[in-house]
Amino acid sequence: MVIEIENAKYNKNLEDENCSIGVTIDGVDCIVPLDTANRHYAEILKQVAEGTITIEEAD
Amino acid sequence: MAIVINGSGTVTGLAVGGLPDGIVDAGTLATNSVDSAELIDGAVDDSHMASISGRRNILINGDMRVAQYAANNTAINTYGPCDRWRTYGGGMGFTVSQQSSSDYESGYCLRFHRTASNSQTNNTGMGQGIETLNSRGLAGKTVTLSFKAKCGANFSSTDTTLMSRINGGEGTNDNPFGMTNTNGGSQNNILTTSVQTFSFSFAMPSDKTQVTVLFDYTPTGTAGANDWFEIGDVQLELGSTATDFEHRHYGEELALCQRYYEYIDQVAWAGDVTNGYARVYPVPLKVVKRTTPTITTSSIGTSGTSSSLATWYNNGRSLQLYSNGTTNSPAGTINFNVAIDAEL
Repeated sequence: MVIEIENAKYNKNLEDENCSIGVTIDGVDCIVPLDTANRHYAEILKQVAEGTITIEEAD
Repeated sequence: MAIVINGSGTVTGLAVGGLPDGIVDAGTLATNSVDSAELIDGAVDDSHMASISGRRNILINGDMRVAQYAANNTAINTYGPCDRWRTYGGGMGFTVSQQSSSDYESGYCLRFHRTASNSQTNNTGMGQGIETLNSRGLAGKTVTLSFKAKCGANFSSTDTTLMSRINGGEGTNDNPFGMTNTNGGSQNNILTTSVQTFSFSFAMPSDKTQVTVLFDYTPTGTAGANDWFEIGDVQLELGSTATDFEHRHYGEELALCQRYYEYIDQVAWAGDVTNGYARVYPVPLKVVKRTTPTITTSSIGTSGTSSSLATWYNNGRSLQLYSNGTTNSPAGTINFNVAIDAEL
């Protein structure tokens, strides 16, 4: 079963750097850190590599 | 040869191993008559110490007492309700719930209940992954899994079989159900509607760096009202013998679980706000997390501040969230619940 990931968008910190991803995972809104040891971020990277999702740039 | 006891208390005439089991027991030994001087090295080995040695259970929350997640879990590849236990397998209508039951020593168990009338027949179940830091000590050794289980009257697995598995992988904290180069052992367990204890052992290959314990079944036909199985008192330990379930204090078990997941009610803040400027809300973590966690907020109540929360700082040891003021009123408030997820 594929984890359903939607609405992925980078968040920036005060230094104007990407620091996390706001995303809906299986219907739940989450903030996912940019850490490959985090299972959600690993899944996001996997689905980006597969072309299933894209991550929108921060505002 | 006669057995002789001389005047000084020396016994002769006994061959090594000459006393049948049960001849020498606590009643025949005076207090302190056997001390360290009488015990040669190795005379008391692990097999004699298992029932009293501590920290045997490598699994966390094996007795299903800790349940920080929502009461019912109906989704594949998600955790809960009991901490550290995750669903896996093919899609199916089901509910996983924590049950109270005197069949288990803790009074709790975890039930996987296929939804009545569901006709999907994918193999599915529940399991627990052990992070690499806690798995390396198992490599090259025999481990034993023991647990209690029973099933509902309509459990639809062929021959009411619940499969238990011990898997080893070679990655570092991979998805527990998709580990690199997985090898494992398994056992078919024939369940009944009465609780039974099962166990089996597996020689973990020396190159394994993480371990997962799994329980699954393949349903058949259309589910009746009681198509379920439940497990409790689950223990994975070193050695080839299953020992009694290890009891840990609830607070201890909760802290072990909070390394992976923590749910905090009602983080609250009140103070001055300025339109468009951030206010930072520290979130007090009780336990350092396994890795940088995913953050989910809910039940957000605000006055003078945005409900759009973001992370100000988050590294698994410290967590601060923030949102912007929406007015120039001197008094703003916010309160919210937060789930902190660093699971495998």
